[in-house]
Parts: sequence; structure tokens; C-alpha cells
Amino acid sequence: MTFTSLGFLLFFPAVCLLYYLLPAPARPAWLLAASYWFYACADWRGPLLLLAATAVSYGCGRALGALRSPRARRAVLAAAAVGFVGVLALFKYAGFALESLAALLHLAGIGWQPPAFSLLLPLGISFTTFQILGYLTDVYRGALAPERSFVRYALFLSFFPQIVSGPIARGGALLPQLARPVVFLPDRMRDGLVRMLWGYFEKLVVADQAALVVNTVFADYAAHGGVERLLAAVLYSVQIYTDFAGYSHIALGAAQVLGFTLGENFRQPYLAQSVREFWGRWHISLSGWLRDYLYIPLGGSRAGTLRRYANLLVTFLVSGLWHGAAWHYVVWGGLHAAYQIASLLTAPLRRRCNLGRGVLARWARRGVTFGLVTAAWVFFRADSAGQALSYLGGIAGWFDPWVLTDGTLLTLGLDGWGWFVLFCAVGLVLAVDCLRERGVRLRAVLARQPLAYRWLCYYALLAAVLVFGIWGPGYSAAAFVYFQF
Amino acid sequence: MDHKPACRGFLLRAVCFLLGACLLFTGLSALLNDKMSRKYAGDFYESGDPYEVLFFGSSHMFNGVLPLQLYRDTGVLSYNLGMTNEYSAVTYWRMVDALQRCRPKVVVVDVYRALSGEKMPRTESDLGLLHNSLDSMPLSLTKVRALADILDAGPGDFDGVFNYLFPLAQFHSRYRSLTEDDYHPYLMETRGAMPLRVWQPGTPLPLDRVPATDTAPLDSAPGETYLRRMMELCEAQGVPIVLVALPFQAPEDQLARLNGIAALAAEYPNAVYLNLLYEDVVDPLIDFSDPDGHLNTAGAARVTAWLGDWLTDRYPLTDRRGSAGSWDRSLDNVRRQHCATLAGAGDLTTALMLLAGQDLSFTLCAGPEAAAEPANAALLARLGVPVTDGGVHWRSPGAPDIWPQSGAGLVAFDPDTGEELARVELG
Repeated sequence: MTFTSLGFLLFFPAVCLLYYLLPAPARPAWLLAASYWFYACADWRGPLLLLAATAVSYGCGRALGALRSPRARRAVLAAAAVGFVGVLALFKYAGFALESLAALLHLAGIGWQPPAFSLLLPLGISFTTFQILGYLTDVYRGALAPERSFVRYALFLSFFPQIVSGPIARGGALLPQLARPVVFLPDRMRDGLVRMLWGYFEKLVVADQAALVVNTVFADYAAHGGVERLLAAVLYSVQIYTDFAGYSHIALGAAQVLGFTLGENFRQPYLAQSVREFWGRWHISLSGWLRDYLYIPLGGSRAGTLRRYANLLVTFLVSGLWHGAAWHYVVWGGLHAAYQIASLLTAPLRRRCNLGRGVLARWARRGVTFGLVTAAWVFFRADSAGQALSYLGGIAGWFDPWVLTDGTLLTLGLDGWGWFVLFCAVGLVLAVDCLRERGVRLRAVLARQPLAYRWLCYYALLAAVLVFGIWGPGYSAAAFVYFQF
Repeated sequence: MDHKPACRGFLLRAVCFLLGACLLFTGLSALLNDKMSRKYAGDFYESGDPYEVLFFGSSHMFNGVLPLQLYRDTGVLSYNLGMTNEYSAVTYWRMVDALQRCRPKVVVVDVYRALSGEKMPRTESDLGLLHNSLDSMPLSLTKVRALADILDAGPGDFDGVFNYLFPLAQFHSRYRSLTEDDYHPYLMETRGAMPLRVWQPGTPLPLDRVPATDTAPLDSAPGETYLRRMMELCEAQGVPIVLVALPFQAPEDQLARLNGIAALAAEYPNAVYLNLLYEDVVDPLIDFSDPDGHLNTAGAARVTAWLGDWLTDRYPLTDRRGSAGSWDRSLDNVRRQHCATLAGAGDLTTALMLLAGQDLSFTLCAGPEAAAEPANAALLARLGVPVTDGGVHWRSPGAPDIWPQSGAGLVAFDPDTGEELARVELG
């Protein structure tokens, strides 16, 4: 069951209705049952694994809370980390590791066929693993008391709005909310619903429309020139942002309707003026996790210049590998590390050049950052690093702007209307992001308007989703990109 | 702090907003949904006429039986609920729904699709055409049950069923291709039928190689199942049912299987089987419109006339001629549409085919060579037009003395008023 399925549109109101009708003590159990059912819709075996992971990590957390010996506590944390990372590696990376080994042996002249390796990949396993590791680390550090209620802890790991693709919740943020009785607040609920609607707009109208072009060009990029490739690369940047941000809006909005606040995952990432800033705005729950539980423990930026570069490289390589068991994800992570290292190396030079602080300079920096991020996304989207290099090489080698006017654009998966709608929708997303960057929160502004105007806006958004969205049997709405991670 | 008043206000506003959202959905559906289904079947659901005969089935029925002509000839009010590519399971559920809305004195079902071995293929084309059958059916529990059965949808398969309950899911992207018909939707006045105004010569049916006594099993589990369910449904409702094999370009193997349906119908006291393939009703040379043998208007007129006689002989059907004003108006309007097509006919055969079976008087001129063409000769014979050595120069009874100007062609008139309705100049 995805957020864009009809099943979810029936499931969610039913869960909410019963949630608010039930007495407060029964609500966590109801949410837990609903969450497990939601998870089981993807694969009935998933909840069994999740329950096992929950029980083990709950026990580890309680043990970390009870043990006084630092060595014993360290041992428990290390065992848990090795165990959970091992399980993740087994499910997600074993096939990749064997194939990589076979390729390495092949280079050494040794022919070896890796055994066929196929295991069920539980949905959201990367997110859940990081959430567990974060929780246990916080308990180990004493920043968080171990959760005593198994139901609450199980709900913390399985809460349906965020189980599949995050945001990766921190125990310190979510567990106390689960312990408090939720009060029905109309404004919060309305805001959550509007947020969900905006998420559907980003996903169905923008991301899935952009995906039609992206998929067409990437599927046969050799047949397309530089302009089409560049356009598809830019549209992939748009797609992956609106896809994941749309998902996050729906997840956060759904949680908000139920009375919970999950951490923000995006903060206008494409308005970042440097790659470093981009990572403070993109997939914040993951980048924050990597910063707090990997980069800083490795020494962060306080352990000397070379060590800092190495820490950056390790962190981003892990980030790449976290996203997928393939080398092109690793290259994508490495590229982002390289951007940041290059940025640090050239910082004195750029300071001397004094590129300015005005509006134009700001937008120029945004443009350069967007270009760098987009180039990296090509590695993310391509099937292999070699394909990505070939794709990028062709942009410069076969650049013919004539295709912008000769009708070629209409053969890329969208007709004239489709391009027009996509153009307007991307413009709207950009405008909303720009307003938010200036501190204007549109939902709050709308909430202050008279009911008639407010509803007019909501209906317009709803109509846009219904008419221009990619949904129904004519198209199959692409699964959320981040589901695969 | 007491939240109850705020909650009540919110809930009230939420209900109002949802109602508005439903209105928005309905409005968008009205604009964007494909109009084909409503265009043909909408009148059945909206008119409330006391239909005494209901026709069901696939395109053979949809194109082959003309309720307006049946009314013109017999005064019987009927509706054609056939639809292109409609499988037996779909026909069954349309019958269930229709019988909940009116009490016909007899239902007539085309059995052609019972030959299909599949209940409902999942090809894009089949699933798309299913909209034509079901979209006009009002939302009801019957429709939900129909979809669950037709699509074998389980309780969790919301998405598969949803787009037939709410076709906007399928058609919302039609905003790119809206036409005037979408802004000014209308209902066809043919009472469900779609006459095909095209002629294509067919080949003789292999009836001599497969006589009516040669039978074979139907060899279609879904076909037999749903034919039986239709007969059981009609039996339970006390409505006689006529299974009918309408003329088409039938291959040998299908002829024998269609013959076998007689034994199936014989098991039910309220059912009768008519195999018109063997009744010499149509002439494949002139009555088909395409290689599959869908009947053109000339063939449909013949079949309708034959069925009209047969039905009125056996069932107590009411002659409502003169008391059903909207039907008379529809007859006139549809005849004018027909004549507009006739006026655009580019060859003599098509023009003669369009004249056959119509309530028109005419003057006709044709040279001897054209009149001697086999298809033309057969059509002229059906129209009762004598052919001489010099060709054809004929004025039918009731036609004024107005002739084609080019020496070859025809002029069609209203037989009562003499008003010129169509002119075809072929010279």
C-alpha cells in the first residue's frame, strides 16, 4: 500500500477516525496494529522481521539502561550495531558484495560465478536499521532513557507514516510524543491535511510527470542528444526532489493529523548556495543521522584537515551505499564528498576573488550548486557509473538546441499540454520554495484567510491533482523513488 | 479548555468541504469522462420509458438491432443495451442492473461472446472498452458486485475496481483532448443502437458444410456459466429470455458451437434459442459492414424486422404508436441523420444500402452496368426496383417527380410530406 494508492486513501481516514474515537490509553495499540497492517500490505513476511528487530532492539535498549559497566554497555551496543548492520548487509548487500568479488576475481583472471542470492528485501529496512542504531546510541550515550513500554517502542519503529521511507525518527523526538495523550486540535489536523494535499501535488503532478521524460531519455540515452539529456538530467533533479519531498509532506501531514510531529526532511534544497548547505537541506533526517552517528564520532572537522577530508569521504560513501547496493550509488556519494573537499580547498581562493553577496551572486551560487548536484544525480539515476559517464559525456559532445523547436520535445513522453502543465507546476513549487526561503509559510498564510478564499485554494489544488496528476490506470503512478532504499 | 465547540465546528466544516470536494469530483467527471457509454445507454437510465423488450449482448447486438425501427414497425418500446466487445459476464451484470430498473416482457440476448474462452481479458483494449459497457450504469451496490465479479477483484483490490466506479481515474488526462461534445454532451436518440452506415461485401456463410443439426460443445466455461446465470436470473424474475445468434461472418467451427447452444436453452423453460444464421434473414453480399460481418443498416433493418415479427407473434407486447411522442421525434431526427449520411454516399452500392429498410420514398437513376453489379442488383431487388436493359429509372410510390440532375444518382424524400431529405449525384 503506497500513499498514492486508493487503499491508503481508505485506510488513513479509517485509522484516524477510530484513533480519535478510542480512549487515549488504547490509541497506541490501535496505531501499532494499523502500522503493522500497513506494513504487511507490502509483504506479509515483513512484520515478522520487524517484530523480531523490535524485540531485540527493545531488549538491547533495556539492557543498556540497566547495565552500569561501561565495558558491558559498549559490548551490548557493539553487538547490536554489528547485528543490525549485519542483517542489513545480508538482506541488502550480500548479492552486491558477491558480484563485486566475482568482478574483482575476473580482473585477476579467475573465473568465478557467484551463487544466486535472492532474499526478501524488507521495505524500509535501511530506514528502520538507522532508526534502531540511532535509538541505541542515544541510550548508550545517556541522551535518552530506554523506552519501557514495548508497545510504544514498537510503534516508534513501525509508525506507518514513516516506516517505509522515513523521516528517520529520533527516539528523543518521537517517543515522548507517543507517551503523551493526543488532543484533537482542529487547526493541526487541517494543516496536516493541507500538507498531505500539497505532497500529492508534488508527487503526482510534478514528480510523476517529470518521470515520463526522465524515463524516456534515460532508457535510451544514446539515441538522444545533449539538449535532451541535459533536460532529462535537470528534470530528474526535479523529479527526485518533488517525489521525496512529496512523500515527506504526506508522511509528515499524516503524522500531524494523528497528533505527532515528525522531523522535517527538506528545507528548499535547490536554493542552497553550496553543496555543504545542500546537505543541510536535503533528506535532513538522514544527513543529520550521518552527521551525529558517523561523521562526528569519526572525528568530524576537529581532527585535522586530512582527517576531516577522510571523514567526509567515508560519510558520503556510506551515504551512497545506504541508498543502494551498486557502485554508481557509491560514486554518487563520493562525488558529493569530492565537491565538499574541493569547496574547502578552494575556499581561500574564492574569498580572494570576492564573488559578491548580492542577489545575482546568490542566484549564481545557487545555479552552480544545482548544476553540481544535478551532475551527481545522473550517477544516482543511471544503471551504472559507466553509463552515467557516457550520458554526461554526450551532453557536451552532441549539443543541438534546434531540438527545442523541431518537435523533438514532444517525443519525450509528454505532449504540448504535458510540458505546459509540468512547466507551470515546477514554477509553482519553485515559487513556494522561494517564499518559504523568505520566511513566508503559505499554509499558515492561507489559514488566516477568510474561509471562502481558503477553500478556493484548497479546491484548486485538489482539482489540479485530480486533473493533471498521473494517477489511475492510464498511467501507473511511479513508486516513490526512495521506497527502494 | 473545552475543545468540543471547536471540534464540532471543525467537523461541520470538514463535512461541508467534503461535500464540495464531491461536487468538484462530479463536475470534473462530467467534463472529462468519455461520453460514449452515456451517449448510448444514458437514455435508458434517464428516460423512464416502459420498455417491454431489452436487447443485450456484444457489438452484433449493438449494431444489429434497431429499437426505433422496431417501434416504427410494431409500436413496441425497446432498448438496445448491447455494447462493442462486451463479454458474457458483463452482459449478465448489465442484465441484473437493468432488471432492477424496469420490468420488460422479454429480454433478447446475443450469444456471440459466449464463444469466448475468457471471462474478461485483461488487455488494455478490453479493459478500456469495458468502460463503454459500465460507465453509464449508475453507482450502486449491484455495480460494485458486478465489478468485483467481472474483474475477480478481492476485497483489497480497490484500485482495479475504482476506475470503473469513478471513471475520472481513467479519463482525467482527457483535458488535453476535449471536444465540443464534452462541453455540450448529448444522448443518442437511437435507443442504444449504433447503426453502421458502411457497406463491405461479405462471403457466403458455410451453412451447407455445417448444417443446423451439426452441434459442438460451447467449449467456454465462462460463456456457459453466464448464459446459464442469465437464464436463471430471468427465470427467477419471471421474464422470458430469447438467446439469439445474430448473423455475422461466422467460421465453420463457431457455427457448430453456436448450434450447440440450443441444447443449453432447452434446459430452461423460460428460454428460447434463435439461430438467425440459418434463417436466411440477411445476404452477406450486401448486409455486412466489415470483414467480421457486423451488420450495416440494411442488414440491421432486416434483422430488426424479422425479430419484430417473431417477438410480437409470441409475446403480449403493446403497440404504442401514436402515444409515444418522444419516440416519433427520435424517429424523425435519426432519419434525418441517416439521410445526411446518405447524401454523402460516394457510390451507388452504399447509397442503395442506406436506402434499404428505411422509411423513405425515392427517385433513382443508374446505368445498366452499375445496376448489373451483383451487390447493386441484390439491393435493387430488395428495394423492389425494376431493372431494364437501359438500367434504372425509378420513382417509388409517394416520391415527387424530382430526379437527380446528373443522370445517375438518387433523391430521397419523406414519404408522407414529399420533403426532399437527401440527394446523391453520381454522374
